[in-house]
Amino acid sequence: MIGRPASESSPAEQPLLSVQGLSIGFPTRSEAVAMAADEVSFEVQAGHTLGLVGESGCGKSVTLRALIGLVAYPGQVVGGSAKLEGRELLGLSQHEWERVRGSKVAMIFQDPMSSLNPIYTVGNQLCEVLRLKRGLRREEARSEAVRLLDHVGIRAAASRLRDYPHQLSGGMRQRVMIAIAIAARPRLLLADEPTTALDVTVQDQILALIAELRQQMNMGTILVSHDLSVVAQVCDEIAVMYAGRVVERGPVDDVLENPQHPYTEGLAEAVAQLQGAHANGRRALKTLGGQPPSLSDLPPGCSFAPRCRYRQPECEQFDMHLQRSTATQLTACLIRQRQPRPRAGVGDEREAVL
Amino acid sequence: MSGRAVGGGTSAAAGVGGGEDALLRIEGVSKTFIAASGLRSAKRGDREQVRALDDVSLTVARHETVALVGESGSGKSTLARVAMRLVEPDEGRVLLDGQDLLAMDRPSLIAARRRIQMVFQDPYSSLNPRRTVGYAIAEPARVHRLVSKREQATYVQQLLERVGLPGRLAGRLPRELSGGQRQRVAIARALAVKPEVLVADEAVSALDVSVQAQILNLFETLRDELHLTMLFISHQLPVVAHVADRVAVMYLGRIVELGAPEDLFTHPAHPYTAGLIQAQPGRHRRNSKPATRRHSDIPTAELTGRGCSYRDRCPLATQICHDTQPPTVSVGSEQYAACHHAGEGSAAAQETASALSSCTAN
Repeated sequence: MIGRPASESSPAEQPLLSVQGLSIGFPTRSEAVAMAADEVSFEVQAGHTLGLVGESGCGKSVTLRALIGLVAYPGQVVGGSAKLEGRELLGLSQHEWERVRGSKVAMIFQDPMSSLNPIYTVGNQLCEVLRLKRGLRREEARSEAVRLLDHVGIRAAASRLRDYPHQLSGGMRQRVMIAIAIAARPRLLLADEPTTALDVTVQDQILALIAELRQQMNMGTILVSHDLSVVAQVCDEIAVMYAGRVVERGPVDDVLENPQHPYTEGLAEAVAQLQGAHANGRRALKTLGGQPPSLSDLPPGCSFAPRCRYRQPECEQFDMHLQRSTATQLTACLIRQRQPRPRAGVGDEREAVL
Repeated sequence: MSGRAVGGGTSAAAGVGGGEDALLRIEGVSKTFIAASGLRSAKRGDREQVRALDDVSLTVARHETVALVGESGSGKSTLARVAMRLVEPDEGRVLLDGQDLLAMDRPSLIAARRRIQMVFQDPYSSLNPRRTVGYAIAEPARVHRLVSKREQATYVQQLLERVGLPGRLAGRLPRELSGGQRQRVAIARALAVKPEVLVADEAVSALDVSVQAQILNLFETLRDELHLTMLFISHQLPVVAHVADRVAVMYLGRIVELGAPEDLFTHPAHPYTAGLIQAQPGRHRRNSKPATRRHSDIPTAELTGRGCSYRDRCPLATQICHDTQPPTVSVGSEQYAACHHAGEGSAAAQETASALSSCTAN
């Protein structure tokens, strides 16, 4: 693993979370180790949201799990560092993680039905966190639980405490998950596709809720999503992942308006748009040809090269390090590092509506 | 209300848009499910009734794509299943090319089902994990006796190519394929019996954007090449805007608005449509202020009595909305809405939109 991103300058203030060169490996049948995350680096400021996007299998979820010590066996963190308020997270013991989880870092999962315990009431699960992590007594925990449920927008919160997860709708369950996640006032909130299973109207409410809580509590948030429009709506920064690598990073508006990496460009183009779909009558969506490579059998050099329309022979030697290509964007593309994509490019009108 | 009333109920919309060349005609279909939610309620006998479809009429013309949109529980999947008679409605008729599916005996129903096929959301659970791709594709054709055993292999190859897959995949098992490839196989399987109507139930919802775009383009190509008629169900409005000729917006078992996507998505007449559009994620709303009204959830389709089913979430609701069910009225050329306040100007729709999505407060 060579080519540590040298050109990254950190902002003046210390970031809430600083991830440097995070690598997560999974053993394969052969000798080789599949790198689900390879030299991943990013930062999250307090009160900001980072969007982590990419197709299934690109390593976004496993990266998130590493930050809360939940990389599933047999995968393991094989290198790098992740500092939360200056404190190293990687390599904590199970015992130490117990103290960090919930109170420093909390996570919301995609499917609240399978992440809530079906045989305990909502009140039970919420009070457990409050008593363990905040040391509240039974009655205090109960009234705090009511306050939290009300805070995340659940009506008649006191009576809802006696409900089991199956008695709630999808949106309500996700609200309960959020209430549990913020119960111990974490500094960093990790959200893995928190709205993917929800209807758009409910998604809208949940996204707004997360944004509101983030502001109130000055939390840093990482939102994993495959939906670029969701990321565009709620995130400040974006990191695009492909085959375990961060291929582009920057402020969300800059990246989506003027994507530097050909993969980001392809993703942005493939999104169906509500407006403009009929401007020129029916037209085919632009697509990225091909499929993401298998992590245990990556092509040499740039792993996106086989699908890339700008591919050059040198790309097969490229080590995919991130480097500044515009004032605000870092990209891991040889072509763009030499010559950034100009702002007023082809297909601009399409990206502008996103 | 400037619109011309076309009738008392949604069934009046039956003649709308379809014209003479209607291939699929759904007339006044209703379906009530009995919610058996647990032992206790089942024993008590006073079980909750869910009105999944309430007097729904829809006509799909030959070579037309009609999209059904709405939140979960709106009845869109039930309607699609009724169209294939996978669900028996309590009332109404389903006509495929003039023949009533609901009146058919078993042999004629099987023959009719060859003409109408379905693609499901999750290709992994709709394909037999222990059968090869080739088997999965050939099976329906064999059942309907469309190909002989000898021609079978060639037939599978042709179908695989048709959906953009290499012929060598015929020997593979579903688990060896990616999600996009599996969905292509599911489409090939549906096409194997040379259907005229293809029902796609959230067929692209589980796919990554880049794959989603590929499959959407495939649907477009197939539609043109094979002259397919499509009923396309999705909760993703941008996807629908891309594929549909007409869009039917459903809410709690009723079609509340119907029209061409370019009209419906730019000038929604029903406050619910406006709300759905407003709730679409996108960059434009990132800086909007946090929620003002967060307590909102999708109600279930329990029997709600008279009046408009949307009244409780609708900011335009007035007394009439509580008293009478709104008739379907024409609100533009080929655009219809079931709302007492339909077409009360776009300003009203806009106001509605922000109130429904309930976390915009500009």
